[in-house]
Amino acid sequence: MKRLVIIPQVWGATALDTALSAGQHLAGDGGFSVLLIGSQACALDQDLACRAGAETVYQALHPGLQEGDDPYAVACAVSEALAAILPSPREPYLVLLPPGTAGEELAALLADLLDGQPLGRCLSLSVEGEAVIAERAAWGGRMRIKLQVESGLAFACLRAGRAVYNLPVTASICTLNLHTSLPLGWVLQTHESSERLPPLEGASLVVSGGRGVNEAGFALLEELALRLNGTLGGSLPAVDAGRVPVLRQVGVSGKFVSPQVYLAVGISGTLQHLAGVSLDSQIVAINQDPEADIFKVAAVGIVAEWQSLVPALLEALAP
Amino acid sequence: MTRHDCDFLVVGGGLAGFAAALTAAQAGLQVVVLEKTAHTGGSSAMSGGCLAFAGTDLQRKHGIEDSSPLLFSDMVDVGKGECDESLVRLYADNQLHTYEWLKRNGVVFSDAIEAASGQSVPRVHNVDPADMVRQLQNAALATGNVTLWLQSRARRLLREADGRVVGATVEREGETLVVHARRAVLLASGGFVQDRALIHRFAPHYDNAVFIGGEGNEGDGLRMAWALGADVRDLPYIKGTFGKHPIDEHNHHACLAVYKGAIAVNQEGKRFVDESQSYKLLGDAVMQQSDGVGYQILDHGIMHSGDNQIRILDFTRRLEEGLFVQAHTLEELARLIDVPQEVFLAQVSAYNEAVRNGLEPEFGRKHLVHHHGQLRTIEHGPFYAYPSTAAVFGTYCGVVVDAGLRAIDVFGEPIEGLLAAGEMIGGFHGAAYMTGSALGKAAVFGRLAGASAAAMEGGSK
Amino acid sequence: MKILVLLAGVADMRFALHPIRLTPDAQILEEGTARRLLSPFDEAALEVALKLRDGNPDTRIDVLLLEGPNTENLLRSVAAFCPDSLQALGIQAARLWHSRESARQIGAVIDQHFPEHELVVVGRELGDLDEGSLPPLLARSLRRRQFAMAQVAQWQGDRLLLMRERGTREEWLTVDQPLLVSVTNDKRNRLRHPLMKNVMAAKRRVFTCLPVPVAVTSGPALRALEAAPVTTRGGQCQMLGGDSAHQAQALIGWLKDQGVHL
Repeated sequence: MKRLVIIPQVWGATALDTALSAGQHLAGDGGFSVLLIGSQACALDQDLACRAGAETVYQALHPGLQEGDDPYAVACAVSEALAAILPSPREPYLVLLPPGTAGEELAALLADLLDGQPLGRCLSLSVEGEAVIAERAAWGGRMRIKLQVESGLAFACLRAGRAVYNLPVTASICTLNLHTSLPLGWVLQTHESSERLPPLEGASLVVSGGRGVNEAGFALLEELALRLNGTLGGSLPAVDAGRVPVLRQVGVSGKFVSPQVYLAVGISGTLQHLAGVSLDSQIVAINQDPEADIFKVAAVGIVAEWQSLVPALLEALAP
Repeated sequence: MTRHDCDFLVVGGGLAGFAAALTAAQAGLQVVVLEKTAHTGGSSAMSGGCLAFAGTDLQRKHGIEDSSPLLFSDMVDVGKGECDESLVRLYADNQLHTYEWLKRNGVVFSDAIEAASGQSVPRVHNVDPADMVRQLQNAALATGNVTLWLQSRARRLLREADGRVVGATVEREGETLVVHARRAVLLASGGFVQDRALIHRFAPHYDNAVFIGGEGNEGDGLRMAWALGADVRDLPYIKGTFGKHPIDEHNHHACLAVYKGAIAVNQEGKRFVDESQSYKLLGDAVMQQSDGVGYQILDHGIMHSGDNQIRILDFTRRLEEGLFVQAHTLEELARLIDVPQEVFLAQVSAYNEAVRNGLEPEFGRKHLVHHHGQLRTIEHGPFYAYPSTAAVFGTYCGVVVDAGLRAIDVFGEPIEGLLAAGEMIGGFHGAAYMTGSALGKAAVFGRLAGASAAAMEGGSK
Repeated sequence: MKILVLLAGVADMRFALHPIRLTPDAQILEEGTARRLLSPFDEAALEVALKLRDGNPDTRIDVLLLEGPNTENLLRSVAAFCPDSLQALGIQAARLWHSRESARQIGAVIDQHFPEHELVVVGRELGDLDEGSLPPLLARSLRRRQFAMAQVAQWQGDRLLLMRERGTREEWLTVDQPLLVSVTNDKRNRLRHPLMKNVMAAKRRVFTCLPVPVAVTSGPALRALEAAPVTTRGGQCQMLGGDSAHQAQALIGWLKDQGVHL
């Protein structure tokens, strides 16, 4: 069973890191290969892939690929690359995509284009002989289903923390030049939204508010995020209530964040929400309910109303 | 057909059924309890757990002076003279002993005593109702004299040539068998909230209400007794509780913002009742409105005068759940709930005007609730509407019984061997009911039915 | 403009999950009384369609709800919004773990019964067994492009615009071809309250079910279905006491210790 990790380079450093980590996690006896794809070769990415222990690093280049590409365009380019890399469509092959919404969509599209199986967001993946076993969450995370793919290509996403880069370099780099015509992208009008704070992706500190925090409270949390040089997040109920935009939604149906510190204010700590916070992050819980589940997973806890604590924090932080 | 024999056959595994079964078992009878569904408890376990008792140690502890005669006169008042006073007397005379008997058999009463509409003094005692049924069930099974059959449905009563009821045919595990009872058969199978066709027959104005009760409550016992010529009573008095959100399946208890100053308007934008009345009368009133729907209209002040610890006043909790319709202005609110704006605004205005000038608004509302609380205006936004219909938790009507809980036929003659207790009897409540008396009668009359059976002679072969 | 909305519903998170198990022949069996309601994504999809109809009365909304527990009640609650048509769709929401096959089956029904619908609108996750694979696969099955994670849909004259946010940008698309739109939750697409008169009228309705073709698409085998283990995150939570000022100071101290730049 061969393993291949596909990384669209414009998706950034986190996508690269988490995808390589998944590859390492599933390397088994056979190791794994990496397919980097973009419009330009990137020596840094190739180097990281090598030092992460890839057997072969393919650098696929398609001049038509750009930032902000439709996943379908990426899928078409990747399909061409895979046609060159994969020996036969019937040979069992586990293909990993970077974890996250974009990776999951790409996995689904590739499975459809290449008549493989889309396994989507996996909680765990393993290989048994020539079969891939995937475990996925269902019913809001309350159940687990186990799927088995016996043959052909399986496309999956797995979160496995961060990669290590101290492995001996044995890989060869192989360049692929692609020319398939890519579907036209969307013609979009863009404007800057009125976001004051950086996006959640890559933030090292996140101040996040839950359903217990009202609009005035979120204004305070935004101030706090600014003062702490972090950014703002929110739970699904807070987004639903319109207090924080959906691009700041943290949770199983939102973003996955892995900051160093995650300040959860007025967040009870449901499984759905916590699924969006990395196990490596330290959670600071601020909640007026001492029985809230969040205190079971936090490193630091404060039982208090945000109405008194957040202003007190802002005051203590004042220059 | 297979035949089983026992002394006492109880149809229904709720509070009345187990109170009867335990009493009879404690007197040495062999009892079979039939429960149609997979679980015991029925509507009793889903109820609010309120029981009306008078003269208890708990009341004395709280400095409340009460007595059976006072309870009796309150109940007759509440029933507006429609009740069978002999049944009310039966309840009043036996309730205190029943309270003590429940406690002796493991039922735990919470410390608080609540007041309720129609009660001269607070006499609502509280239990966890599912736990109460479990305690009696466990005690009954522990006597060694009780057999419980789940998923077993009684279909027809069996009668001898002389008219005496001697048992029933039962469907169990795909086959039909016969259970013979030497002393008596007790029908304790609850009411018929789950039989909408029967509801429509007697209370068509409640068709649009929400019905909440045990899944087995389809009127089985009523029909079996009816087939034998049993007389029935109180059927026109099926009532629901006002304040049930028509599409909320999560909260069973009503929201009563009216008791904190909200007004109720119908789909035409008009008030239609004195909102300070009992929630059952409000229930009746709302079912007379278009689609059986009203809206409780409140402002910011009333919204925040609630109390999330009290079930019917937990406004902000329900707001968070998204159950209230919310708007910045009354105009916008009218649009969101689709009531004629001009009429609606005029109604709120007239109400506020009356309140400000110390006059009674239309329908003679004097207070917030019953005889307490000062009326307040609805004028500070944001404004809220809680769509409200009535929830029917029980059909407090059914078979006529005498003081021995024997079913009485249409000619006033007892049907030998047939007893009835709990939600399926009629005549006790009359035109309205007192909080705590519905669950109370299941316990009191269930126990009396068990005692009745024990006192009977084993008549059949 | 004709819009098809696909809904799946999810098990109500406020209640304990109903019994669900795998039969010996690998079918998912849902038992007990399950409470199914519209997910936040279902609601967003429905509201997007309703807003478009508000903005242009020539808009037609047809709705399909996947089968599952409590379908009758869920159909009634959707009927209260008065879509132009509403039917159940003869595929179990729990079947969507087999995303390619389900997408093909649903696509075939749409091709056959709703061929002229310019917009097919669906939540970004379709039910309890889908985590986002279904919308792109359904788009492929319909040979349409997918505009993913839309937050707003609105009319500008007689042009239809869709918007989503990426990073600090808003991206606006003018719709000029048949599309599949997947919708995510946003304060601008919170589902409205239905009118009570429609709720009551819906109680009397009878619904039909549209069958799906039998599809034979190779797929994974469903090997097991179990309750999720309760994961413990080792939190040895250090509680900070005192009044707000105290707690604030203590927290700032801890943040500094973690190396956070203040």
